[in-house]
Formats: sequence, structure tokens, C-alpha cells
Amino acid sequence: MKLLNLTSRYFLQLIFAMLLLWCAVFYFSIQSTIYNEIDEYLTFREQEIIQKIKKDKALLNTSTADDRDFYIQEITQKIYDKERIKNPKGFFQDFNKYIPYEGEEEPFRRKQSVLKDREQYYQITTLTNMMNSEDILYTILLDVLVFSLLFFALVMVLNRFILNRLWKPFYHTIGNIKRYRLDKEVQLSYNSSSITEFKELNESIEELIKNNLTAYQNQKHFIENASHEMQTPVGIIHSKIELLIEEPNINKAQAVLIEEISEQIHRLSRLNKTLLLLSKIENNQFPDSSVIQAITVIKKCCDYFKDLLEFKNLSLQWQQQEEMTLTMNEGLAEVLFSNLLKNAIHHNIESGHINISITKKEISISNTGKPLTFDSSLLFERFQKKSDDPQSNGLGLAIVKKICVLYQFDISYSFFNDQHTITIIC
Amino acid sequence: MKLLIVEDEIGMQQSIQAYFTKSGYLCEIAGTQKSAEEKIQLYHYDCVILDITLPDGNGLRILEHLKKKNAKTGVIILSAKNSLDDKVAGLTMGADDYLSKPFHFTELNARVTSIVRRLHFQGNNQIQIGNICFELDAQKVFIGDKELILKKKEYELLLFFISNTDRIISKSSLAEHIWGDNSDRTDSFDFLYSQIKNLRKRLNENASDYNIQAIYGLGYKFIKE
Repeated sequence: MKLLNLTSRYFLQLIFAMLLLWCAVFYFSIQSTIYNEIDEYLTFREQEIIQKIKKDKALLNTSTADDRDFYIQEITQKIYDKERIKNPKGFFQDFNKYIPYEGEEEPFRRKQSVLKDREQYYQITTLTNMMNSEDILYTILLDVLVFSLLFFALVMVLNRFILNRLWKPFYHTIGNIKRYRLDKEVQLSYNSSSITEFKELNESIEELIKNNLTAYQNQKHFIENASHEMQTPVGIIHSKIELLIEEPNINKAQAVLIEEISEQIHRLSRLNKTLLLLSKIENNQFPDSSVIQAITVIKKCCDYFKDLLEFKNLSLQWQQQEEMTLTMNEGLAEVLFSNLLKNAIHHNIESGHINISITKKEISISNTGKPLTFDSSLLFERFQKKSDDPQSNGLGLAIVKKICVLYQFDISYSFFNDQHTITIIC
Repeated sequence: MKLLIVEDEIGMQQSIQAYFTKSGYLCEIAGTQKSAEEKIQLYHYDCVILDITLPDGNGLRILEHLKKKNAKTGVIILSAKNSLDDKVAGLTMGADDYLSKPFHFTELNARVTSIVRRLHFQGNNQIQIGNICFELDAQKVFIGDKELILKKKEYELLLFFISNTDRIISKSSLAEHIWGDNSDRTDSFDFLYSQIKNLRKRLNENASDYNIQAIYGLGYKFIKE
């Protein structure tokens, strides 16, 4: 989950809870204020009526009228005493009353207290309509809610906006890191941020990348330099052996030794050359690309291996021959396809087949052969030499893979029906 | 035939000199760009074997110098860099051939021979050895009057043998000549043995003056029978 959304989510939850709490507090606070006011009014009105009764006793009997805001009932002494102990100041009660012209029940509040007048006991009830106060309460509550929500929305938008702005350098940095590849020299741009943390982050990353790059480059150069430096002594040994074989009077035992040395030095120099090629591909030292026809290059390679195919009694078939253009270094294209073809020839069986298919997007070369004796995921790894061929250096497919990586081709291997297939999707 | 070897590694210098002296060339050595340029200024050479990396400069400068002099001199570039740039630069500047280190002497010998032949026998692109005749332009081989029909690789192989007549050719140099960087398979060696066997048979059948002789443990030799 994005940091921004997470912050928003927390904010949302927090503010919502607070809003609810606030509404509740507000509701009860206003309600209690309103009740206080009403109760005060009812008490006042009651006193007024009692004063009136003292002046005009007739009121005691006319007080049951429905449209009055008070009524008086006679009660027994027993109830009077009980009420006086229970509620010496009278008691308040909410109730609903049917209002004919409204056609519905409306909330009312009444105060009941008891009264003694010349050994007669009465209960006096004062009441008032609560309609207005309820309306006011709900209106206020609604207003509060609406304004709070609006405020809340505003805060959210601002929050998003501000956070977006604040975190922008961070996302930029992340984007940089995502795009960064150690083996590709990409200059990364850093937004100068005024935020200390981000500044530090950028600086640390820059430092980290710089160190990594130096280490990586050192390593790469070491391989390249080592291979280079080895060329000269290997070359000299090579040349001395060639002089040696022409020396007169070499006996058979010596000849066998020389042959062995010669073979090994030949192998060493080939290995060295191949490593150099690999490191050059890695260092992208084949800059000039041209547009080439895949089919032309592959046919050239087939022609090159024609005699060897015949010698091994292999049949080569073209399944599909569509036009496909590749933009790559021509030399590397030849290396790529000749390695694949060489592989298909070498790992084939007696009187086997090689099938080549080129479509607009895909080149696949398959050959008959024994199943792999190792995990196919290791097929394109360096020195995964599993064949028992002493001449093989186990780098052929590693080179193929490197070239594919360089040009961002997708390479895959499959084995089906005793057929090994290597497919390159360009 | 005069040969100038421009090479800074003493071990290499000596080897090349020893090998080509045996082939009957008159070899001179230059270890730096300066001494090479002096020698070129003073003498004429049929072929210059030029190492690109020199302690005091680039071998390509010498090539430039040589081309200015406009001498009829073949140039073959040696480079340890195995770099395509050097190859392209060298060939566009007028070098005749390019060979990356390490190389087989038989390979260098074949190339030098071919360059010298081209420079000295213009128009008549033929090699005659005993009763074998190579028509290089047409890529045809005749023994006496009879044409010897060869496959592509067999032709290459025979030409390589002929360019290294009387010298011992190691198996690995043969494989590398035929298969280049693809010589790293047993297949290619097996293939080679069968080609050589076949070639010997054909030469024998056609009563060739020369044939391939196996030298135990060391390789082959193309000699007069």
C-alpha cells in the first residue's frame, strides 16, 4: 500500500472517530442546555400558575382543559405525601402528545408537582411543546456534521496534495533506483530536495551506487586485463612450441608430450579468447549496430557448417522462413547463430535432425539429442560443462545468453519429444 | 624476400624471426615505433608483420608512414586486443591482413605467403607445386591436367597445406584455420581427420607429386613424395 494512501487511511479513521465523538458530545451538551432552559421555564410557569391559583381559586377546577399549558388534578393525601418525599421539587418527564392540526404526535415535556391548598391536595402539571427545541437541536447537529465533513474533506485533499508534494523527491529516487542497472551505465538524475532526510537518502544512494559501480568496473576490468595480459605469454609459449615441433630428432615419447602441451596451450588460449569476448560483450564494446536479415546470417552459418553436417550425417530442415530483421552488431550476430548451430550439431545424435524456424518475431533452432543430465536452468551459465567433450570450454551458450541480454532478446530452452529447442524472441 | 617484424615482446620477436628465417625469409626486427619507422625509411621490405601495441606508440602510425612512402610492401597486423576496431582501422588504412594473438605460425606463414604472392605475381593468381596447380580466383585445383573436385573445406585445407609446404602443421592449427573460433569441439577434430584422410587418398589416386604425411604426435607435413 502506498504511503500516501496509508496516511490518508489513518487520518480518515481517526478523524471519523473523532467526528462521531464530537457529534455525540455536542448533541448531549446542546440537549442538556435545552432541557435546562425548558425546565427553568416550566418551573417559572408553575410558580406563575400557583400565584394565580392563590388569587383565583376557580382556576383549580377549570384546569383540565386540553388547550391549556397546565392542568390540576386532585389527589389523596397519601399520594401527596409520597410524592413530596420522592420528588420534593417536582419531577420532569418527556412524553408525546397527539396534535390534531399537525396530524401527528409531537414531543412535549411536563413538570409535575404536588400542591396543598386548605387541606385539599392537588397535583399540578405544567407542560410545554418541545417541537422547536428539537428542531434546533437537529439543525445544529446537522450543520455541525456537514461542516465537519466539509472540513474533513478539505483536510484530506490538502493532506494528499501536501504529501504528494513532499514525497515527490522520494518517488523520484525510487524511480531512479528501479531504472538502475549495475551493468548498464545510466546517469541518474537527482532532484535536489530541501528535505534533510531525502537529501541524505539521495546522497547515501549516490554513494552506494558509486561504490558498487567502482567495484563492478574494477572486477570487469580485472577480467579483461587478466585475459589481455595472459595473451602475450600464451602467445609466446604457443610460438615456442611451434618452433619446437620442427626441431630435428624428436623421438616418439617427446612428440606425445609436445602434442599434449600443444593441445592444452591451444585450449588455454581459446578459453582466454572466449573470456575476452564475453567481457567485451558485457562491456558493450560492440557499438556499431546495423540492420541485418536474420535469415542471411543463419544461412551463412549453415553454409559454414555444411561439411560438418554432412560428416555427422545430420539433416537440416527449414520449417519457416519469414523475413526478420535484427538491429545488432553483425559480428555478434554471427557469433550468436554459429554458437547455436554448433551446439545443435555437437549435441546431436547419429543421423539426427536440426530444424530451424524463423518467424517475424522468433527464431528457434531445435535438434534431436539425449536429454540433459542437469537442470536446464543452468544451461546458459558459464562453465556449466556437463558434456564429456574435453575440447568444449562450456562457454558457448553463456556467450549466446550474453548477446541476447545485450540486445534484450528473450531466450528460452525446452525439451520435447527428444528435441532440444532454443528459442530467441526478438 | 625481406620481412620486417615489428614486435615489442622479445620472446615473440625471436620466435617469429626463427620461424620465418627457416622459411627462407630475411628477417629484421624492430621493437619500437621509432626504430620501425627508421627501418622503413631506409630499406624496402616485401612484408611487414606489425604489432599494434608498441611501447612508444601505435602500430597504425607505422602503417600510415608506410602508405605515405607508397612502397610495394604487404602489411599484416597482429593484435593482442582481438578488437574489431583495430581490424577495421587497419584494413581501411591499407593493411593486407589481420591476425589476432595468439596465432599459429603456420597460419601467419600462410597469410604472409599469400600477401607476398599477391604483390609479386599480379594477374597470374596461380600456385604451382609439383604437378599440383591452384587457380586461386576460380578456387580450382588441378593435378596435371585433371581437375580435382574438392569440397569447400577440403579446398581450404589443401591450400593451407600448400602454403606451409615442408613445415610441420599441428592439428590444432589446422582446426583453427578451418573452424576459427569454432574449433572447440571434438567433432571438428574428427571431421578434420576424416577430411585429411580423404585428401590423402585423393592426392594419391591422382598421382600427385606432393602428399600429406602424418608426423607422429606432432601433426602433418606436406612434402614431396
